[in-house]
Amino acid sequence: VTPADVLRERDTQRSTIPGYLRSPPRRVATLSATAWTFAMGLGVVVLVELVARLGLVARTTLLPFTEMAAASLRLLTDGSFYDDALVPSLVAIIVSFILSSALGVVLGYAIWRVTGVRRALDPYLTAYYAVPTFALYPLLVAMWGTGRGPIVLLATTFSIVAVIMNSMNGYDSVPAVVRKLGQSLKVTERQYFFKFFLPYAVPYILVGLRLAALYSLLSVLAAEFLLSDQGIGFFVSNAYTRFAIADMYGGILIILVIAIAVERLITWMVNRLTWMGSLQ
Amino acid sequence: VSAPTAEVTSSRRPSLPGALRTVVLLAATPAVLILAWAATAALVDSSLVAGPWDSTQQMADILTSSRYQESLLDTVQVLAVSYALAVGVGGLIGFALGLSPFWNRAFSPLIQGFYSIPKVTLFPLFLVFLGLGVLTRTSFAFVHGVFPVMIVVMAATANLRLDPIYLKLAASLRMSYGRLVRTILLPAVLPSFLTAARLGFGVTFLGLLLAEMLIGNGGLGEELVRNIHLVRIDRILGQVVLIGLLALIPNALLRLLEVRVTRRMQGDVRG
Repeated sequence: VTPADVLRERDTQRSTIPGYLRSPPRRVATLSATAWTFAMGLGVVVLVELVARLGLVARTTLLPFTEMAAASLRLLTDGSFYDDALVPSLVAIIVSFILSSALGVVLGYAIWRVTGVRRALDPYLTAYYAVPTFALYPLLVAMWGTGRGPIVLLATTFSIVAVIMNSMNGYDSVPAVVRKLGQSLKVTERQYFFKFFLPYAVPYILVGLRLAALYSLLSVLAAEFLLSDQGIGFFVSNAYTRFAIADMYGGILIILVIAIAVERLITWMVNRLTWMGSLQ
Repeated sequence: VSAPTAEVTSSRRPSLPGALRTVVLLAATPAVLILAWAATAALVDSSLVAGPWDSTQQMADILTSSRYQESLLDTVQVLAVSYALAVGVGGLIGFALGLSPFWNRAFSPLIQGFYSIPKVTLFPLFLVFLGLGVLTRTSFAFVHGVFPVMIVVMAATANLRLDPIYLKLAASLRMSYGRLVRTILLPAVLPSFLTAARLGFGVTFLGLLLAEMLIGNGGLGEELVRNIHLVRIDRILGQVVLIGLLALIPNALLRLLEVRVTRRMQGDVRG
């Protein structure tokens, strides 16, 4: 039996074809996959609401979702929340994202160009995320205190390697034929770099940038949570210590929305800008 | 990350024997880092930055203290449990969801969404629901590790599940779905599973260390934070190096296993 036979058979008598060769269902219980995603997300929200409303978990522990949302909205209309929590965090996240992206693409290129350096660094770059970089934060605090500087430095150090590695993958992906095309069109080095080489690597670089955004977010919030006197991470941890449960859940909800929005936005951008189709 | 591109340059100069060259290449990065560290310590006020030698002495000192040994053992135990759970649960769920193209699509955005949340913001919830003990540390580390493992295994399984070669092979052998899964898809996903397991290790360790720093009753994380207030930079540096070594050894072993299995399955290592 050849694959062609199998496919022909599929068209004539469906019953003998194994189910796994058929295309997957478009709908399950009349709902599409996207509808299921929303239904399950909504299900979690409703569950939290019910568990809290029915008193299955004490009010001092869990709030109904509607009250969390109300607390978030109240925070968002509060000027001091912007000044002491939201803005410092967002600034630190954006600054470390930009620093790690720009430096990562450039450093990645420098390392990629020098074969010896690259071979020496490769095993350590691969193992980089096995080491909890966050262990450096106490060191930075002991040296420079709990300012914004150590936080941005930590977040950049943590994020940059993802950019370096993915840009290097991108530079690797440029095939010889692109180089030859550049030569036969007699472009200058500069033109080749900016119009041929770099654009070719862009899809991979974008994967690195997506990770850098998530890692910057993670490390800024974790640092604020652990030792800081401002930022939204500090706000939530402080609310917890004060037993201000509404503030705590309000702050958490705002962070969740920011994190998911950032992830969706960047994934959307990656899929829009990439010329190779979705990279997930 | 692929290495083989670099072979060309060795023809220019008389090359060292292979093994020696590997050692030199491997040692170069740590050597440069240690030199830079020593130079910084020498230039800056030495009470602010401890040099490599001071820190190594401190590290040896720390390691002999029974208090630190207890913390080390504590961390290793919790890490082992939470890592095993993260790999097991993440691998199973990832594989199961990857097998169903429909549910893969339905769950992916939720799992990706949860993965992108900085888990540390949920830490108060762990404290509120699970208390200040081992349970919080274990589950916090688990939650860090399980999603990356799940995502990688899920994507790999989904790719294999829709690969016409495997499906047609199974169909032409008149395999049942169960046999397709057991004899073709499960072995084929093994290399990706090992990659996922390696990636998951670092994240689980990070989660555990964070939890220990935040709770502050036991473990290497607490030891680190304790020294901030004492401003013992030499001690902190010694511990940072120790934690780095602790993370690198399992990572190297996992990488070795991954390379071996992948080579046997595919004849070559990809990615």
